[in-house]
Amino acid sequence: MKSPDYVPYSYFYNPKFINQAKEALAFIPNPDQGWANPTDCVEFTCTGLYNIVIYIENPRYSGDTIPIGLPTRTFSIISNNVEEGSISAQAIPNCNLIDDWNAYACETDDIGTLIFDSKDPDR
Amino acid sequence: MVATGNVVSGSWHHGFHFTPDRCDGSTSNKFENNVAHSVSGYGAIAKNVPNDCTEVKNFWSYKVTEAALMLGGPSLINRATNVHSIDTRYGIAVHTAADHESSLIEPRAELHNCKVYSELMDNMDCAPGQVCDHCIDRTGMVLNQATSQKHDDFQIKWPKLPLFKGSGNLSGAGYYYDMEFIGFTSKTTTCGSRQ
Repeated sequence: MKSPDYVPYSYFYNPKFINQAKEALAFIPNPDQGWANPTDCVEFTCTGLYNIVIYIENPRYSGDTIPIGLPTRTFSIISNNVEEGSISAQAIPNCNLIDDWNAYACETDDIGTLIFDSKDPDR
Repeated sequence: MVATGNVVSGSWHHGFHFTPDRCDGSTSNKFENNVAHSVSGYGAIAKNVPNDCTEVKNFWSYKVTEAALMLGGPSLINRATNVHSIDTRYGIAVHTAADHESSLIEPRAELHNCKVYSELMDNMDCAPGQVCDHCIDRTGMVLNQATSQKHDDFQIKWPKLPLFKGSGNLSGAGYYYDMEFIGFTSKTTTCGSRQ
């Protein structure tokens, strides 16, 4: 994904996973450090990929390969902020890091995205 | 333009390039029940059109090196219904490209009843005995990449793919209903690429 600024909130309703390995269900890459340039995010890390929320309602699993250990009811997948000193998903109850996804699986539907949109001319 | 029941294979950059219909079917543009496979590029690219709601439906694409379908015009809703992506690089690529105030209007990328299949084991990228020069990653789908400008729907040359661009719009959402993901039994393909 090439999303330095923002990836919109994603809602999945009744997705069906057939012969799905847990490790291959999702992946959220870290921001490209090359985006920290004068055109994109100046000297700062672009945080779009650190603010992804994927809401999954009523997932269904079937087949010979089942992603064992995932919630069977509504859950959310959110980014793993690896910036030094940053605390994000690990502070949210019922969120568990899944290394293969580079993301957290959170047994909650209470996670949203709050956007502050600057109206300055140089936004 | 009406294009139904066609098959394209072996082409470069894309299989189909067409003008999509409105969701209510009110235009004369009909693109349905077509198949694209074995394409070095996209299965189909929908032309950028500014509707309230644009829909592509009933399309199949397999073994293409970009996405099965690229739909990223400036419509308020871009929708794919009953689209099947089989063994493709980016799966189904439906994105928003509308510059709206985030607090007022939400452009939507929608998928309805779409199916995404992983690598086909009987049609591997690098079968035994072959030179392995085309081992590509697989992705079931790419989440909505909301841009305030536009995503490309054509290229004079082929400088860099994919066609969908980065973010830039703080408004938008992805709504994905009754999707099926099939056969992603490992995070690597048979030739070692990621999926």
